[in-house]
Amino acid sequence: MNVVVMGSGRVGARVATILDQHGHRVCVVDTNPDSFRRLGDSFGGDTLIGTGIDEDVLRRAGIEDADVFIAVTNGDNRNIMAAQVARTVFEIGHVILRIYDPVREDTYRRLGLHTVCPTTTISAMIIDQINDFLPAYEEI
Amino acid sequence: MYIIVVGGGKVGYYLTKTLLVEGHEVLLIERDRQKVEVFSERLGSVVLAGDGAEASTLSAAGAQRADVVIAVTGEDEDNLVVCQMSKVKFHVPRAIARVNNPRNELLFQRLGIDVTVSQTEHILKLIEQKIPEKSFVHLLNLRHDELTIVEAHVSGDSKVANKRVSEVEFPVHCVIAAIIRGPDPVMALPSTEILPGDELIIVTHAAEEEMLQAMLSQ
Amino acid sequence: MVSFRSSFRPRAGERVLTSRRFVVPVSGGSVDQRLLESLSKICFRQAADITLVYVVEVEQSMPLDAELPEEVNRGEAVLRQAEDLLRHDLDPGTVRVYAELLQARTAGAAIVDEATDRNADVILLGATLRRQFGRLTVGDTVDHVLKFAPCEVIVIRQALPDWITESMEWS
Repeated sequence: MNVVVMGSGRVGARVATILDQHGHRVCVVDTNPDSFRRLGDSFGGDTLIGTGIDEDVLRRAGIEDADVFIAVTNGDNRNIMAAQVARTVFEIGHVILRIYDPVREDTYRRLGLHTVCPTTTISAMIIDQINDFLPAYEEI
Repeated sequence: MYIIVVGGGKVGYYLTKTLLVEGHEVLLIERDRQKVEVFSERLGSVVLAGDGAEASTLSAAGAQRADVVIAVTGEDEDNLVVCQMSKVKFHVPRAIARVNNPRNELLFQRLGIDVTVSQTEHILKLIEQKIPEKSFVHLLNLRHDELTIVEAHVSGDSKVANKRVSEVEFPVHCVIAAIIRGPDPVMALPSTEILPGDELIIVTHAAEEEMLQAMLSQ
Repeated sequence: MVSFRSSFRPRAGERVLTSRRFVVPVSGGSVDQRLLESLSKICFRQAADITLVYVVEVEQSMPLDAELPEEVNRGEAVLRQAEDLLRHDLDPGTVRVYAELLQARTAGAAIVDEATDRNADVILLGATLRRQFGRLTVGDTVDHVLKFAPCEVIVIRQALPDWITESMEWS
């Protein structure tokens, strides 16, 4: 499988590393070359400096042959725009993006994007754990 | 009309000021609190501090009753999301985005933005569509206060229509910088003929702006 | 015979003192009473025009001229009460009291505009300390008036409430 990952932060680098270890062809795009250090020495995929909201950069990252596009930079709006470029311009079937803002996440999920919202997910996990050791507070 | 402008850069500030003068209700949303303070001092209580892409900010701004939302930040991704949130979540009838990278214009239109513009003068024209068409629009002041740029529409019965640039007696301190003909800019050489429907982009001494306007509107 | 001094004596009906013009915002909060008491003291045996102002702040989600009967009723009640108090304390022969109910986006700007329009000499306003985003503040209204009022501004800030004093590390 060919994968383009935009954003080489903790999440992006980890996802890229794991996919690489599983034998997929991965290209990571980030504006900051220093961030590629997170990928580690054993990373066998490609890296490209640039922003994923630029069609040319995505093209050079091999988006035209990609099966999956993942947008996990720290900017919600950047992820949203890049994901829509991948879906609309390059017609990538599997586009996954991170949106921190729950309202924005909800809005774009309704528009048909595969969104992940760490804010709601992590909050729910914490509440779950509280419920586990404090059964009396189930109503939280 | 109630118009929300997002992004307090030069374009946003100037746009807000102009729209206020035109008599619209305007709110400018800007992220930087220091800028908000400065703008409030100059424009009054028409500035809101916040992130225009955030639903809570748009809601506080009253996006649900806005007629137009105009996103003019320096980042295309922010302008896109502001416009999409306004349309999808707040059902704003008209969303206009400034496109910093002209290549994004087509993409934005495909993604449901009503209008995209890459230049200030076009933004102004789009808003002024409902206002009787202006033949003379003040575009911006240059860094030296005494110089300004204006755009003038040449009508069929204008005194300058069908004349060569060299034949027109402009005020002394006016230079035609460009002629916009249809979608294309044309160099204004002395031999270039000014046609009806042309938009003249003119650099002028502020003191002569009125003279120029009077002359062109004859 | 014309004496020197008599030429300075006012004729009947003329006033010696030009009245000072006060703009006094009231909010219905606890500081209002202190504000009005102080105002009465300042204006005692003086000619004064007092404009009491109550500002209904209209959120941006509504048009500026939105109908807000609840807020308007409350404002009218607050103004009436303040007016009564002043009329009771002050001599109606020398002090004139007006009441203005304003609808605006922000109270600060409305107060400054009112003071400018009325050519006020003094704005007398009350400040209540509260905590906002973890810091103590007297609020945007007082801030704005202090910065932009064309005239003199007198601010009355109440003594710190216990909950604030107790939270201070030096207390």
